Parts: sequence; structure tokens; C-alpha cells
Amino acid sequence: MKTLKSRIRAHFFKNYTWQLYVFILPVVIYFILFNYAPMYGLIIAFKKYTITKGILSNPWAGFTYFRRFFQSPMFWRLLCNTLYLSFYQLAVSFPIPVAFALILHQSKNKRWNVFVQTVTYAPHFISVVVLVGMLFLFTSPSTGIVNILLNKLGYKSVDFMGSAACFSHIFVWSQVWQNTGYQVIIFIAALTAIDPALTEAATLDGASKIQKIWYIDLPAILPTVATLLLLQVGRMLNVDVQKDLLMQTPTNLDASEIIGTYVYKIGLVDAQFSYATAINLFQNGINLMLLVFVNKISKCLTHESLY
Amino acid sequence: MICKNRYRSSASDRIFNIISYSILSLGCLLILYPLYFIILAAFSDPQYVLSGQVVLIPKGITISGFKRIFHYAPLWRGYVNSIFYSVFGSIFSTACTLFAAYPLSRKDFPGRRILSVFILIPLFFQGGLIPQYIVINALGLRNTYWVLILVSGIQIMNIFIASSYLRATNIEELYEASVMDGCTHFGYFFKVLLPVSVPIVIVMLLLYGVWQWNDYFRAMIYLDHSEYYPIQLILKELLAYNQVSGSFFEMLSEDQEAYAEMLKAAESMKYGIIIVAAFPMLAVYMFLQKYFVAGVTAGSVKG
Repeated sequence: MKTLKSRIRAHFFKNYTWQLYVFILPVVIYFILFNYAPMYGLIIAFKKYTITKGILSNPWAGFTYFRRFFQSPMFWRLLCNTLYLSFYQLAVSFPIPVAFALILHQSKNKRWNVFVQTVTYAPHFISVVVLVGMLFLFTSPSTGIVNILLNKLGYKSVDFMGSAACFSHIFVWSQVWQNTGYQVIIFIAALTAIDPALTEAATLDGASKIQKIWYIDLPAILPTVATLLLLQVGRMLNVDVQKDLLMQTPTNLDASEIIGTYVYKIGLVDAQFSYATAINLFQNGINLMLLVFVNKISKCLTHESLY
Repeated sequence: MICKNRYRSSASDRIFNIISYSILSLGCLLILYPLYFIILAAFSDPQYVLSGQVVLIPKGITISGFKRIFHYAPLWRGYVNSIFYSVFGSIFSTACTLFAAYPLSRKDFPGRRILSVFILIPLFFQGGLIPQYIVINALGLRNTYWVLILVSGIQIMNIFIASSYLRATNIEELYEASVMDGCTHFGYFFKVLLPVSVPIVIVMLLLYGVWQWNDYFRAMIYLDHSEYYPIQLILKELLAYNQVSGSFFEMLSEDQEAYAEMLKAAESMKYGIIIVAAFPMLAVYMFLQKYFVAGVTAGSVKG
């Protein structure tokens, strides 16, 4: 009797499936307006777009803008700068959190662990504007603490932020300063999922901490590491534009101009909408191809799809 | 044999411990010192800061810098705006995120697969800056209070984080019992599921709120009038490159001091501005740390 009743109720519930669509409706509308409409807007990359006319009434331009970009003297510089920053960032800011997490996980002092995690995660909550503001403030040639101390030691002031040679180092290492703690948390979460019996058995067998890291911890978090690494590779061309833009000074542009900042300048500062969109589309296309490629690798290695 | 083995391993562990503590302490120090120095510099007399005498302890303690900051109206206008954007933005975003997450978490939702794909696609392919700008412009959202709340307001990863959380919470017994009591989906979601999912609601509110507070880029693109500016845009004008002669720092030249002196005072005042602007978020983080950690680990579940 009860099951019948519950079945009736379940049927009644099913009749309210339309409510589920009501729940998701705002997001669908939102996505159409703010995500899919811009995708449709990508066709202006193939048109001579002026803001006074609509998207449709402008004449077609074909691949003119792409050709212009590939032939422009900026092309190779932008690509090199973007890839260089990407690789540098990957090479530095990926292994450091892994190593940090592995070492931290071996420490059995709980309070110390909480303290370290709290401190290292904190810079993540500083905005990029403040971070870059701090960089300018600390390295100012006349008033920055770094140069004051350099002067005291008998060296000349260096305009770090104005130098193209220093740009990539400052960019990447400030990223490390800000985001290491955040990534450590991800790896620590993977490490705490390890069966404690494994570690205990290893301890009884007289394994040293380094051996435990090498034979237990590292293999255990390898899938997480591999997945995150592949995701990073898939986003190879997505260097942090917002930070780069803030760090730019007229004298470091040789190193700091990347595809993303160039799109911003060409598009919104110079109002060459179609040209900027074409450059952006080129970047998105490469990203998408990289992602598909990386996903293929991931499927082969771990039998898991990233999406 | 066992004894020997044990002795050896503990010796190597002792070395490991020493190295581990040194590395971790050094890491913490490198992260804390810049923040500590900002506090030092903000409360010390500029002349000592700029001659490099303030390195570990404050010297010539003063709050004159803060007094000047306090009288700078645009900063506080930005402050109020940012509080508005953060509060209403995070409420809007969290509501939409959870509303979408609920159907997606249900196996019996007919459109689940196709709608998941619909929501997932923009994660991998976007229109990009310019087309988005054109759309926002066409919608007439530029220079309104709405634009920062709406643009990029719903983040795809958060929908999936919330949805996988709800899937874990959405226990069969709970659902059955509610159905027995004649709940519809609306009733079930608001009266049953939401109250037992408070942690994910808090995580979402915090993630969106902090992101909203710290973001400057959308404001720079879509807002032209300073009355709408969030705090980050005001900060950008005060802290970023080549902005020393902004209106704020011109106040200082009233006393007709030498230009270099003004410059120095302006530089030292930036430390105070950073404290005023960045430390509220750090405080929020300190008090609600476990939710932020939960947010990260929830996100890492699906890579």
C-alpha cells in the first residue's frame, strides 16, 4: 500500500519536471546572451566591422585580417613572448607546489601544517592590482626598498619594472609568490586521500621519509599532477593578460607585449574591432587544438578524458 | 639488523626534517615579509622608510598617511561601490549557479546531457574580448551598475562544483521522504536540499564575492564614469605605473614643498592604501579559511 502511495507521489513529482527547466532557465538565458552571442559575434573577424553598422550589414573581408596579422612584424614577437612566458611559468610554477606539498605532507606536526598552509594560501586573496602595485612600489628606482637596499650595498639603482630583461622573471616569480599556496592545497587534498595503512606499513619496514615520498606519495598523486599539467599545457597561450597589462611600462614592451594585451590595445584602444577579433580567434583556435591534442594524450595515458 | 635499519632511517629522517622545516619556514618568510613590510612602511615616518632604516621594526610611528587617505573621497566611493558589487554580485551569481546545479545534479532530468554540454562548451571556446564588448554595448549595459554584476558573473566551473556537491547531498531517502510529503521540485530544493547544503552556498558566496572584489578588468573596459568605479579601478589609478601625479597626490603639493618631497610622501602613502584596500579580503580569508579550502578541494575533484 505504502509503495503504491509513494509511486503515485513519485508520478506526481515527475509531473513537475517543468520546474527543473525553470531552475536552469536563468543560466540558459545568461549563457545565450553572454557566452553564445559573443561566439556569434566572432564572424566580425571575417568582416569589415564598424560600430555604426550592425554585424550583418558590414561587407565581408574574408581572411584579410588574419593575413595582415601573420604578415605584421608584431606576429612573431607576440607569439614568442606569449610562448616564452607560458613555458617559463609552467617550468617554475608547476613543480614548486608539488614539491612543497610532498614535503609538507611528511611533516606530522598538525599545527605547523595548518600554519604553513594558512600563510602560503593568503597571497591568493590579494588582487592583481595590489600585487602589481606592490611590485612597482618595492622596485621603484628612487623610492623602492629593493633599490634603497641595493644602494646601501654599493650597487646602482635598477629600474626593474622598466627593464625588458627583468620582465619575465618578475612576472613568473610574483605568480609563484601568489599562487603556490593555492596549488599546494589541491595536491595536499590528493595526498590525504592516500590509505594511511600504506604509509604505516612502509614505516614499519623502515622506510625513510624520502623513500615514502618516492614510492608512495609521488605515485599516488601522479594522476592529479598529470591532469593538471595537461590542463596547463592546454591553456598554453592563455598568459594572465590582466596582470601583464598592469605590469607594462613603455620600456619593457619588447618582452611584455603578448597576444592578449595586443588584442586589448588594437581592439579597445585603437577600435580596430575586426583585426583584434581575428587575432583573438587565432589564439582561441590554437588553444582549442592544443586542448584536443592534450586530451588525446590524457586518454592514452590515464584512460581519462579531461572533459 | 632491524636496529641498524631503524637507526639509519631515523638519521636520514632527522636530516629530512631539518631540511623540510628550513624550506617551509623560508617559504613562509618569503610570503609574509612583503606583507609585513607594507604594514611597517605604512605606520612609519616616510623619511625613515625611504632611507632604508625601516626593515624589521617600525620607526617614527605615525598615522598621518592614513589621515590623508581617509579624506580622499574617490577611494571611499570605490569602497562602497565594491561592497555593493560584491554583495549583490555574489548573491546573483550564487543563486543562478545553484539553480542550474540542481537540475544538472538529478539523474532523472531529461535534458541533463545536452544542457551540460551547452554549459560546458564556453569553458573551451569563447567569443573573446571584442565580440563580448560589442554584445555588452548592444545590450546597453555599459556604464550601469549592472554590468559588473552580470558580465562573467556565472562561472562554469562553479556550476559543476555545486552540481557535484548537490549530487552527493541529494540522498535518495531525503528525496523519497519529501516526495511522500508532496513536495514539488521547488519545495524540495528550497525547503529540503538548500538547508542541508549550506556549506556549498557559503563557499559559492565567498568565491564569487572575493573574485568580484578583486577584479578590475571588466570595470576598466565597461565603465567610463568614476561614480561607478569599484575599488580596484581606483587603486589601479593610484598604484599602477606613471600615476604619481594623480589628483590624490596633488593634494600633497598644497604645502608648496619640493616636488621630490611630494613624490616621496606619495610613494609612502601607497603602503597605507594597500592596507586599506587589500587587508579586508585577507581578514575575510583568515576567518573563513575552511570554506575557501573546501572550495579549492571541491574544484579539484573534476581536475
